[in-house]
Amino acid sequence: MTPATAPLGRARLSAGRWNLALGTIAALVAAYVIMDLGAGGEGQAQFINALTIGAIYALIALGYTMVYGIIELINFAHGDVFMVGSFVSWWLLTTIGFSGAITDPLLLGVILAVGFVFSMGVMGVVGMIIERFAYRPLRNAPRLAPLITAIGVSFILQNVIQVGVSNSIVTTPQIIPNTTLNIGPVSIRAINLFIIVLAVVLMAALQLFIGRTRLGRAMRSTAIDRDAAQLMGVDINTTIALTFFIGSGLAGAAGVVQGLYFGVTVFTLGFYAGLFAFTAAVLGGIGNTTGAALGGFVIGFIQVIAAVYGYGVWSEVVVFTALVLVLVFRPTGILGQQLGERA
Amino acid sequence: MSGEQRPGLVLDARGVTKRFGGLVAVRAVDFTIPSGSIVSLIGPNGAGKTTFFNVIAGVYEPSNGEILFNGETVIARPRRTWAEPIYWFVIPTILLILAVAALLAGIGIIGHLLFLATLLAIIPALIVALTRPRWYVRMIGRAGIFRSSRPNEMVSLGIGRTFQNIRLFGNMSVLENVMVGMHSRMHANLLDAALRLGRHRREEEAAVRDARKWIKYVGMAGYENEAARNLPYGYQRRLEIARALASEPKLMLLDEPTAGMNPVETREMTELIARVRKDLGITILLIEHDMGVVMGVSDRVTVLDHGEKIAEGSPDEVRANPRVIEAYLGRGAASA
Repeated sequence: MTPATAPLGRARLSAGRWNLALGTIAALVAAYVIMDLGAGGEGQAQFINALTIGAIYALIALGYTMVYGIIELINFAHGDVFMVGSFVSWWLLTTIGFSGAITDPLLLGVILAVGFVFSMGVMGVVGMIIERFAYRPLRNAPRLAPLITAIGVSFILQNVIQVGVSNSIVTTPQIIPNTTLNIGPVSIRAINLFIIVLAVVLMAALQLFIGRTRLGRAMRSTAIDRDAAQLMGVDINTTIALTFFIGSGLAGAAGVVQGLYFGVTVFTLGFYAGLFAFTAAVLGGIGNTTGAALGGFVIGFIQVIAAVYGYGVWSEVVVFTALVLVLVFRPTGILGQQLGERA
Repeated sequence: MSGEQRPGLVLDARGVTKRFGGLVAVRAVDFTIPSGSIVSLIGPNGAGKTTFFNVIAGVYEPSNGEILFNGETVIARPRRTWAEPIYWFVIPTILLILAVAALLAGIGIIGHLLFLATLLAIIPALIVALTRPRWYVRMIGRAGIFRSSRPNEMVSLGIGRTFQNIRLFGNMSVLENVMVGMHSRMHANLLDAALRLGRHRREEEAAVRDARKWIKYVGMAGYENEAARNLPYGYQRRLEIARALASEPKLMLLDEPTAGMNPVETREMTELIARVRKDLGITILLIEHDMGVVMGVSDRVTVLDHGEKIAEGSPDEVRANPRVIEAYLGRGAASA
């Protein structure tokens, strides 16, 4: 082997990236056509709806996939972290005292920024506490032990909210005005645009963080070989805690989005959202952050397409059938495994 | 327990014993590494070399004995660790008592402020307890509380290592592997990365430059972007050395660096090891089976057998030692 092989390796990487990009565009066009045929002119609205729902699933799925990537634990409590996040944002907004749309753009921006930073920060810390007290003591235990513990943590979070906050559906203030923006031929509600842009920004930031920073490298090296990483000077305890902080923080952001978009939240929300987001992570290739984002959008589209054709009640069946098919024909998911691995 | 410091010793292992259940893998081994030397540890298979090596690297806690690095005890049996949380909570507790006292005395505003201060005092205490900076370890050490350094802390102290069976981060590029080695020398935290501060960018750029320098040093320039798992075997071994060098060690532990290499690769590796000591002044501890390598580069050789040190000295002395010949070839060979 000579140094001439190095550029070859780069070419291989970028070819994979092109395939991914082209595949995504083709899939989006196909999805749009299918929706347009089924919805009779409502295709565009449904397409945007699917992107929005997909963005929420993607944000949650990232937490599943990061935690799995780094400690090979399926964190069943993650869906409930999302649920608690939606309650944190509900609590914040009602405490500050908003009940309807905020029309002043400056005030709206400030409130949204405060809401997201607060909710993400609180949920990040909650995630770290869960890791410290529920998972770290079991780090070298058989794989089943932390899994069962995760289910236990899930029940704890649900019960804390059910008993301590509310045992029924609560209504979140809709602070984003219900205006429709017309950008050329596209007409999109402000809230959809906001959610899609936010999700894309968060995911891009995450990719940059994992790919280009010291702590991101520490996370990837810990995911590949925990002991070797520690012997090379990486503090695996803080790295794993950081992974939980970021994953749970993204779930917290998804929780805020849930409140803003659907306007309601309930203590059982985490179970279903978690199930779908987990499916998204597996679909994209668990342990792979790009895959999780992709899987989230795939699930959003599957659900909306099913609804467009009048099979809304069957959407779960369709989603899980898709999961089974992917796992049978491509067991590592669409993009394969490994945290931060280039597609 | 740190005892008197002997000058010129990078590493001083005193009476190190490691038991696994009933098996004594290493028994009361005294071992020193003078600064700037290349010291080898040899012995038949199962002699306890790797166990001893892992004790020094902080992987195993010794059952007995202690390890001093640059005159400071870094590894020993833990003592009084139960007392450590007292340090975390002593200031918050005092503040809390004062707060309650102030509330009872009817000075509400001061009580509330003290209560807030209590909460604020817990957070830095827990951060310090989690990150365990050096000054904190020394402070609690003076109170007789001791906990062995964790492997990543050993790297921060200045001990780098390579592995017997190569353990590179296969999916990551050569450059990134070396940059992981720099982790303990870099400082960017989550906030720097999130805000994309200039400090963070400059540190990353400097790290890339240094990583390229180390890759060139081990003779792998041009391979920076290749994934580590695609490298040929000899290059993977060199990359492990580059990654260890990147952590700026004072002492480098090499676990069979020429295992599985052909004679040409072995010669190149031996030259590299000699060069690392000569150019960079890094002290080296070598575990090796290839006697040609050991006798060629070592200043001093220590022989372990059945977990005990049976000989120590210059390569020639060790080669002539009847106990060593006996351990390797059996009793008959020694008396013949």
